[in-house]
Amino acid sequence: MIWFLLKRLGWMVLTLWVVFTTSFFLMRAVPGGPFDSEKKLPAAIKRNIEKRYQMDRPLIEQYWSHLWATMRCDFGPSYKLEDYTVNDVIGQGFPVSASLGILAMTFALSLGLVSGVVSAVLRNSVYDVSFMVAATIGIAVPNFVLASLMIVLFVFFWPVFPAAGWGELRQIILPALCLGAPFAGYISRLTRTGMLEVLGLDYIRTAYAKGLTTREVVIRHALRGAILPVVSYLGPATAGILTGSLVLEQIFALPGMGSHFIEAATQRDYTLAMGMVMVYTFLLFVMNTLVDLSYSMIDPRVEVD
Amino acid sequence: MVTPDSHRDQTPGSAPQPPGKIRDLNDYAGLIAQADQQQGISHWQDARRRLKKNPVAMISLWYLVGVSVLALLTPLLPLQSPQSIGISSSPQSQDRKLQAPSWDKVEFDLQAPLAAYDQRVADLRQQIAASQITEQPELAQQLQVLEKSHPFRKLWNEPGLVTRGMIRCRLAVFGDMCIPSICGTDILGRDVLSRVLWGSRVSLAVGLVATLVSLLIGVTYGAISGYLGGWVDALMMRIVDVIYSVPFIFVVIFLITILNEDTIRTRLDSYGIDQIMIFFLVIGALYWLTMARVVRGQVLSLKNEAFIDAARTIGASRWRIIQRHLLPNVMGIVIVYLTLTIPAVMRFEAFLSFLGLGVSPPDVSWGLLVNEGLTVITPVKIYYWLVTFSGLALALTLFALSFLGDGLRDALDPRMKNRD
Amino acid sequence: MPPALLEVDRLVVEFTTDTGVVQAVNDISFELQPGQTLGIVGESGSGKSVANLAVMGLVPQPPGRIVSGDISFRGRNLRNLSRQDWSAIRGKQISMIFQDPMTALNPYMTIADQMREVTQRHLGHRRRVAIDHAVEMLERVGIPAAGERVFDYPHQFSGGMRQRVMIAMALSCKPEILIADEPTTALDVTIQAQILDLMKELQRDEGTAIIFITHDLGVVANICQEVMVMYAGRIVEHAQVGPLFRQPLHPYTLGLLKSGPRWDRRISGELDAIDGQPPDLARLPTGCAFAARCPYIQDRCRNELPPLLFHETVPAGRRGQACFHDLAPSSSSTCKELDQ
Repeated sequence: MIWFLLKRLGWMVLTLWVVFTTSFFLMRAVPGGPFDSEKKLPAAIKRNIEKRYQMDRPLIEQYWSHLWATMRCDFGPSYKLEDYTVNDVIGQGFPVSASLGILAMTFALSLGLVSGVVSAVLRNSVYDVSFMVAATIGIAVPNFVLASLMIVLFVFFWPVFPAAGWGELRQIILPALCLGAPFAGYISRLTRTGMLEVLGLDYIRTAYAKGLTTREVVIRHALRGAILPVVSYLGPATAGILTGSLVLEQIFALPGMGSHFIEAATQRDYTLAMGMVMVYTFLLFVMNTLVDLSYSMIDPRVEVD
Repeated sequence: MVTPDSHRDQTPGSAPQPPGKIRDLNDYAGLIAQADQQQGISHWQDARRRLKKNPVAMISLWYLVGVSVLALLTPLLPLQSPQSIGISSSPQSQDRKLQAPSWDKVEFDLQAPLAAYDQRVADLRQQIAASQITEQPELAQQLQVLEKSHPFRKLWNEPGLVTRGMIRCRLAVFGDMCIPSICGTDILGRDVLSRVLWGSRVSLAVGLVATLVSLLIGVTYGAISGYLGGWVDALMMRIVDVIYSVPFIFVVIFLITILNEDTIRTRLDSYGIDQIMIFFLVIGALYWLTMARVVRGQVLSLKNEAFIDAARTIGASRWRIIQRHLLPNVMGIVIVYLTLTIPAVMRFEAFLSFLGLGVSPPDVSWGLLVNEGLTVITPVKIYYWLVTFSGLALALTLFALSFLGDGLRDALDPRMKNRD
Repeated sequence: MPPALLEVDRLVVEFTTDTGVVQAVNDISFELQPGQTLGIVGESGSGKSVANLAVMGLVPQPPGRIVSGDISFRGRNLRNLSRQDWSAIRGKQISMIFQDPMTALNPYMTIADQMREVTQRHLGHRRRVAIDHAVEMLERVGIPAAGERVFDYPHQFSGGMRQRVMIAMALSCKPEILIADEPTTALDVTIQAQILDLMKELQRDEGTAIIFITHDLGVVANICQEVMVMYAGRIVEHAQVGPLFRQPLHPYTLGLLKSGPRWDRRISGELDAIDGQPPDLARLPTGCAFAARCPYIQDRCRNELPPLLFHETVPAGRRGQACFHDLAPSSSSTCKELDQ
């Protein structure tokens, strides 16, 4: 267990280091260097950056000092936003993105699991067919197309939700729905397949032979085995939700990390973009580790190593 | 399903002889003749038959064929220009902004300017031919300047030679007639139908080409890894693992930002690499991972299959084994993943274009169109046609691709049915 | 004769498959007395498992369907029972153990959790009591250190131990009928003998009636009092164990007996196999299903279905067979054949 976590930590550090190094040298590969291009930087930022990166020093020395700073979780000043450090921006954006992501994941999991189980238990029924059609639509339609349709429907034609903004729960429900929809669809299909497979197994027959009702058999005996594929999908799903939030924060004007990242990318705010890539990598790693741990908790035959 | 046994049953007169008896050569010759007559159903025929039985997959297939043909033939269709506002000389151009879909006739007046231009080019050419050698460079320069003012240039974004030829064909056939704005016009008064169709060319091309790039990298990488095995395999797969655990899309966005830096861009342009090309490469580089893993797995398991050994024992050459046994078996799964990758890539293109990091104006793609549609949504008025048609085109195509992919997967590998 | 515990009357079970409708169980009737052990013998696909799943109300529907016939337990018809009523019977009055102990236990739950489900449901035990009861049952089936092992997961047990757990679980509510569907087939021979001894011992103590499904005639001889032989969904012979082994009356039974080695006979040369293949259940012939493989075939066997006829014989008791050919007159020769 401890060994497993240590190993994971090692891989994470290695990956973060690769990401950092690649980004750092790519940034420096921009001809003339990123900090004295034709674009005018506010003097304060320029001074800050030059002090921070010790621009007069050799490249390797700059690399080490920057790496050292990054290891202390100090990503330096933003390249474009005056008076802000990258840490400030991330600190402000994170709570927004996190609540959006958690809400979307909750929605995807609850809807996906319930519809998948119902589909499998009532195989070939009307519910099954309609859930699976809905799931396929959810998977195929890009979330921003869905979002635009939802806006037209629920903001203009039938105004139940505000179009944009941040501050109350009502404002992130619609974006969370749009963000979670494809994952709900995928989880639903995974659950249905897993459930159908498990329901054909011998131990389910044993459970019925013990006199348990269908509900008890499904919930107590079948569900555990059936959700294993869903659990392993949670890693990629997290990555997907992080990505999806880029678009939805943009559409719904939520001040989260995603919209800052896009801004950073389009405005070429390299320090901010790089800091955020590191944060995203870290988040994904943590999530993947949690997924592996929970896998071994659900299936006693699996041991983490 | 046709199993080998049922073939045997169908053969007339092949009553099994009691085992243990020695048959003479004539018997064998007869058996071989019988075997020749027998029509086995190959894996691919079988798959095609199964696919044909799947109505959803077939509808999707025909839809995709239709969309591809439309995209290919777009320059031939009597559409309005996707770039300019109707025709610039048209007096209506001002009030054509954000028009709702209608069947009202639209002026399209291209024949006359084109004829005038052709006349001027022809005149100039004549002049060049007739002039002194010393004057020629100057006149050639004039010709170049003149070509920059080609009437197509304003109306279509830098059309290539083939496209120009097709547009000329279209003018010859349809004259100045054009389809009215049945899908409405956008904020600059451009025809939405035309833009959706021209956008389909970019969206589909990105989907196909980028997938092919990923296929090339993925299959090569996976095949090498699986074929060599041992520590090389371990190392190569470890690399894939590390790349997998990076939120790669963010890195790609980061990469694209840097490659979009003006200085780098001009330098890349000088090598003939434009933005769409970068796009293909970047997406291809992103999506090869799964393909590599799948191909490696397949090659590894095939290497140990009994039928490969069997082929070897009867003296099949290495090339024959690769060609007859390995390739067909890898092909199936590669095709299935191909149909899964194309929609993923198209969605990613739409996603990046939507964020303003992908295809940029004056090129059009579906993702870009949806974005343009979204930006003009205001609480006061929604111009629904801007979002609806491009969004629908994108959604339907992705839909068809994923249905076709599911159908193909079921058809090629029935064991994988109901699996995700 | 005392009233039967279980009565199966003209049961027909159909399955819908890709190739057509299959009669997996075709018009079978039998009775089970309290404390009795009834063996059901037949090859795979003969319908022996399906018949017993029907008794448990566990025929998967669809594709399966009970077409006609009655199953009554203590005079109560089980065929149109509601789901709740079935749940109250299964595991309490009729329980079942399955062929493969490796897959019949839920790998994600501890033995304790799986065992206490039964008693908590049927006997209203509280958690603590249920676990104590489980430990007691495990001790009775011979699991060492049951008090600790009850909290283990199935994969931590060996195959024989898992079958013991299954038996403990099936018997934890003292059921009146235990249906054992090839409980020893997947086990090593030495473990087989242990499990059989255990079942005999538990039956002696509890007086449970057992339906023992197997394809192994040796096991039948060991544990059963009465045997039914099934072929292609029908009962072809029904007799007491002794008489059946001494003098089979159906050619299929004879074939089965001759195809197995016996410790008390010397084997000369090869064992006799029954020629041919079992018939395709979707395309059964009009006559006797065994006709194509039968060495004693008569003309009428191909067109007419031989009924299962019972008769009382003085030393052998009530027995029946479904065959037009009478093996009895030539019994001396049959026995001689067996004696060789």
